[in-house]
Amino acid sequence: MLFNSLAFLVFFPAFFVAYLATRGVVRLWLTLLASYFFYAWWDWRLLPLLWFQTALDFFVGRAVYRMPDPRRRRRLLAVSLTTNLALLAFFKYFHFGVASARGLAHWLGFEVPEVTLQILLPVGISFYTFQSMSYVLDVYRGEIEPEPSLLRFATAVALFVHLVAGPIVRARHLLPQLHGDRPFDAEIATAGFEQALWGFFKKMAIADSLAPLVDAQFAAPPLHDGMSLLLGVYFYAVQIYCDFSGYTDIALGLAKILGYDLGVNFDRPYFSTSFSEFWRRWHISLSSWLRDYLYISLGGNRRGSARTYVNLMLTMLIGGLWHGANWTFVAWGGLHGLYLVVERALRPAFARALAAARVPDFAVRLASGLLVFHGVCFAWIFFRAQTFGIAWQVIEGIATRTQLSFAQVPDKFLVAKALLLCGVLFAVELASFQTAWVARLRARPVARLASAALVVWGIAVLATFSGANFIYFQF
Amino acid sequence: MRDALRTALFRLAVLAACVLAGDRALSALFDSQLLRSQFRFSVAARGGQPANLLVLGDSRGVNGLYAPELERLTGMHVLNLAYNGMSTLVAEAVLRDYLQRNETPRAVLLEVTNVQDAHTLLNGLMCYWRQGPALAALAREWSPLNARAVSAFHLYAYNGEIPMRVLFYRNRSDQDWINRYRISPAVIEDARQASDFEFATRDENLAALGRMTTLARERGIALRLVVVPYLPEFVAHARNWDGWIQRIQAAAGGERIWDYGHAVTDHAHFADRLHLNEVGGVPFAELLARDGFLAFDARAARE
Repeated sequence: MLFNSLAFLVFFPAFFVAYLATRGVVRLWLTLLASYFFYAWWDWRLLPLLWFQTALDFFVGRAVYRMPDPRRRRRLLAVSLTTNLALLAFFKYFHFGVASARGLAHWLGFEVPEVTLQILLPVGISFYTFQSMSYVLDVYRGEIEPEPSLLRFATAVALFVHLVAGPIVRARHLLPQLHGDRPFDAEIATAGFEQALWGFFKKMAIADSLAPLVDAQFAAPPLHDGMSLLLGVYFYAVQIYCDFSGYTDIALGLAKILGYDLGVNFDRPYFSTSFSEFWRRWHISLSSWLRDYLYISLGGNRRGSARTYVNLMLTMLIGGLWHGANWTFVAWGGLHGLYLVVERALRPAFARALAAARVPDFAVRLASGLLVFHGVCFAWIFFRAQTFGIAWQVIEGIATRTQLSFAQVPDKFLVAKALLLCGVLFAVELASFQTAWVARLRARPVARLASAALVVWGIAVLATFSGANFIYFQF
Repeated sequence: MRDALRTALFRLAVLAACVLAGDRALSALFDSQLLRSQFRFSVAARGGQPANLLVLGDSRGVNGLYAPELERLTGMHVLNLAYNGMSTLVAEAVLRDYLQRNETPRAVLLEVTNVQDAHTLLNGLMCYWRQGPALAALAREWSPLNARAVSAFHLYAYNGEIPMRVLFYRNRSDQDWINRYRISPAVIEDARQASDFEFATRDENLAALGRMTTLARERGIALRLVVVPYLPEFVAHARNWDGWIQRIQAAAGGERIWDYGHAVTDHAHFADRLHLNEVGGVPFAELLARDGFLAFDARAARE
């Protein structure tokens, strides 16, 4: 069930009324069953896998906590991690692995027969696997005690607002909120409603309006001029941000209405002035997961510069692969790893040079921001392209068909609308840095009412009501 | 909790009331602006047009039947009402609404390859649904969900690309609208390498074409059915050209189809596989004039 579907428009109010009418265990059961219903809307056959992973991590978590012998504890942890990762690998990466192995064998001069299985990719498997795994890891590390109730644990894993596309909420963050009933708070619910509304605007008005322009460019890059391709890349940067952060805003907003706080997942990432800052602002729940459970486990920055660089590259390469079964995602992760390594290596020297040249801070920040944005956009080309060939065609088109003229751009009105929407997003995000001004605005009920009404009218006039999928569902 | 719920419900009710009031006020404002625009459909909806030559069709009609040149060659007032994706069914509704508010045109030129088009433009024209009964009736039949949405929430009618064009052409005519770029060698090569295909028709479009022919005869309008040029490399792959043209002609009650599908071979005259550009639009209009396509005898048509 999609948040931007008519079915969800019926589902959520019905669930919410029942949610308010129930208490304690009944409410937990209701939430769990509603979450499974929400998930089964795509394909009920995928539910047993979710149940299996939930039960596995619940019981392994308990066993790990009770086990005094460190070696056996480690073995239990390995069981959980291996099973979870094996399931993820099978459902998500089987064909990718087979195709890559065949490609390698062919390169070495061997011919391997093609192996094809009809594997259905379970929606949200990357999200709930990481979420569930982090619970066992936290118990193993002694950071949390195991949850005694399977019902509560299953609800934390399957809660429909975050189940299919995040944020990846850690058990230690969500489980305590499931102890006892969350009281309905009008202020928090209003803030949640506003956040969800803005999320719908970002998804339906901005992301879905940009999608056809981006799709056209990446479908056949040689047929387009340099300006159109360049716009296609910029638009994709905005599209994927609004698509994913829009989904997140809806998820977080709905969670707030239900009384849950799921944290923050995006914090105006395109205003970052360094790549490391970008990763503190983009998909925060994933980047912090990778940092805590992968980068730090590999040794982080504690073993010298060279090892730090290797750890950064490995973390970003795996982060890239997490997004999808394609080498283009690995390249995307690799590019970001490279950015982080280069930034870490050169930053001190750059800082000294800029200080010596007395370059104004504003100019440095602006130039850094533009550099980071364009570096991120360049990496998005690989993320969006289905193949390296297409990515190369886009880059080549921008670099060689340099008659950068708007006269050649087709669909000028759609482009104008897209630029207008990008401007709206930029203005809203820029204004949100003025925290005092925002606080004053939020203190005025009329201003809040007007802004909410404006968003609804904006959705009516500017949104695309195609029920388009969210990009991150495929991950 | 009861108080908190009451507060939340009250806020929701106030928001709903404000949204609805704003919807009606803003849509009334937009409606008034819509009818002041020089955009083609606004001109038709405003009424009182003396147009004696009307052009209908999809984007091939927009670019292939270039209004300023037709005006120069015929000396008649021309209104090009063709638009991207306009199917024959939608063209029929546009024509019927036009006839309600404007003088009966002397001739209607219809680019008939739109018999293959789906009716997506119908939703694009949502902002004109309240201005034309034929379009509104078609919307109720072919897009009932949107028809209900528009009647409940008027601003939704302004969702789409066309309202932007209405705004853009507020103070200037859009009748000189034509593709102003040239097909790239890559697109020509792509067309050359493409697989063979068949041109399709939609039954409802063929039926609409039949009704338009009858309507034109009843109202004494000279109806010219034309196929404007395709890129030769593209159209060469069509397996059913002759049969397709015959089918269209049969649907039009035997009316002549002026077939120029293969008439232009110079690549410089094309914007892409389907459309002429500004270089091709002018000589093509001259070709039409030379062939007598633009010579109308209204009385003969009435008879």
